[in-house]
Amino acid sequence: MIERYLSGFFLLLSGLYFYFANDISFGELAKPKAGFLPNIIGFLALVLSGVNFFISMGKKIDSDNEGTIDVFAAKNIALLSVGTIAYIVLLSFAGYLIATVLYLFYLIKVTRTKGTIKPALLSLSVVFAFYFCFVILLDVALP
Amino acid sequence: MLFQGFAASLELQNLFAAFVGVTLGTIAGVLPGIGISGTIALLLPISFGMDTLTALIMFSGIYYGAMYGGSTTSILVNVPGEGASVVTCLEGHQMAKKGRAGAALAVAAIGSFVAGTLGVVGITFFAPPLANAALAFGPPEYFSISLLGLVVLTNLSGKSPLRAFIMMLVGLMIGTVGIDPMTAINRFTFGSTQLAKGLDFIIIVMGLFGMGEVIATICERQTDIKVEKVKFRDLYPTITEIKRSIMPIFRGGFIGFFMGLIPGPSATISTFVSYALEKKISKHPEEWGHGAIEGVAGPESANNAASSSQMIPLLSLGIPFTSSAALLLSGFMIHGIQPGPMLVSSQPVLFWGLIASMYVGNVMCLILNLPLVGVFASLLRVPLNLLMPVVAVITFTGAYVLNYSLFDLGVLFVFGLLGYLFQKSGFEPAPLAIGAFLGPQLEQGLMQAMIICEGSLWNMMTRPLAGAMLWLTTLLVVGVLVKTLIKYMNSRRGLS
Repeated sequence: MIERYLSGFFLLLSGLYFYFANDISFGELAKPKAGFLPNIIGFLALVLSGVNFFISMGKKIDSDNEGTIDVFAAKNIALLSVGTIAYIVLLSFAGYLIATVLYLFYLIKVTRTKGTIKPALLSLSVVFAFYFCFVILLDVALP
Repeated sequence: MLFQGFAASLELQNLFAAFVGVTLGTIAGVLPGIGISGTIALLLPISFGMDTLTALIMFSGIYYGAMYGGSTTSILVNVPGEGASVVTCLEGHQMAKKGRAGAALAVAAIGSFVAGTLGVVGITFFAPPLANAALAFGPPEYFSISLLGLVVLTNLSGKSPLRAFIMMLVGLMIGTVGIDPMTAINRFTFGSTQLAKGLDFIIIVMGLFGMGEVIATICERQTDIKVEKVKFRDLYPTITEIKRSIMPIFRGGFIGFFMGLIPGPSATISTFVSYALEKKISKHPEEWGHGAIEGVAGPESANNAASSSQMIPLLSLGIPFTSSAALLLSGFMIHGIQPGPMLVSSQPVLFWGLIASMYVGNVMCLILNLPLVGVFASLLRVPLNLLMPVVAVITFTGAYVLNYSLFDLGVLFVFGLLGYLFQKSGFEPAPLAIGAFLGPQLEQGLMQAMIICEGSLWNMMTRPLAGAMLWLTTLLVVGVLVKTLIKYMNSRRGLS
């Protein structure tokens, strides 16, 4: 099923890309402009993804071999997405150390790791180690 | 003069500088997002105040250490630290999943050392004539080699050429996002200043390969995750694996050395060319995609050899063809060395000392990292429910450090999700990565070539270098189409 959705996604993406590429000037062969390669790529992608889409729709669904996402995986993806968005937002407000310790602890709990003390200690030690490597050792600025 | 250079390089303070350079270079190379250029830029100030030859030896240690460090994360956790490490993810990480991480790391180290040494030997004897050959490359040649590279590498994903081409085209599409370098027009930015900067290739591959793997592991039920128990004897390659790696190392070294003379991202291209060649001639085709040792030995050797031969135009002509070479040039100039045609005659001890320092840096990298293979491989004994979150955090940190942009973190995660979906379906991410990487160079070369050739493709195809590569590309494409057609007709005959 994922295969079909991805085939459809690529068809849609190619169509949109080709549509927007048409707004950019193509130029001539001897004087190509910014839209030269995008139009060529967009057209080729649209044709090939169209062919692929029809081939994948024509195939019989083989539930044993086709990739699917079950409820467990979907739930984890949702948790991961929410956590990541929160982490990116928190980075600008709370800084690297606090945001990353919380995010790492969150990820460890998403993987169903039992306990609180050990994950918390691991989060603190790992993040401080990264902070030392990047900021102190390599003099790289973090939020 | 070379022996004098060696004599100077082997003094105690110089050996210590090599050790420090390799250590720091490896640490920085292991951290994703830093890359070779970033590593050299960050560690350059350490050399201020040092003796010139000592500083040069440290630079070469940093250079080789950073290259090896990039392959370590590719093998262990599927996070490529730079473009040239992407291919190592394909087979190296599969070997790690089978408990052969140590073997992959060891072969990468040995292959890098052998090919790097061959590269330095090449520099020693062939620098001036090869440098002049490199100058023969113009825009039509850049375009044709990029196109050839794309077509060759798209054949890497063997299952479906159609899907591989689609992924490659998607990669090219991604490469066009941002301000067009030729006309300064915003393309596909939709008014966003973040998109106007374009999508960074390193972020894309870190997402597709690294974050994709993290998401895949986190989404699996813990009972489904098998942790390979690594015994001590599994930490290093077997005799069979070493035998199988010998010829790929030499072939990769040869490919990398000559491709490294080409301006631009030739080290990365050479890794893919080596991979494609080894896959084509392999006696164990069933292993490819599941941990073929040749897929680590060849590309890693090509990468190191290319990185050595990139020094040829730098030393002989004073022209850096890559960003890391440009940084090395700035390091040389800080210490009063002006690379170029006069360097050999005006400062022979320094020149040969520099050549000798590359040998020393290469050896030091091997001496330092080979014993550490066991330590690195042991990281995989950490339970995945703890290791993967740490990998996620280090990937995000490395992604931020690249451009200091929170937007990049969002891009990383989106490509991570895509990488996970690609893993679950029949779409390979490698062609997308190579399309995104080669796209900008391909486009710039094409635009300039069309202007030079006055819009005539035939003019381009009659140039000696560009024409040869374009004709080869045409034959490859026709070959793929014919094979696909024959396969389709056979399947129809089979049905009827």
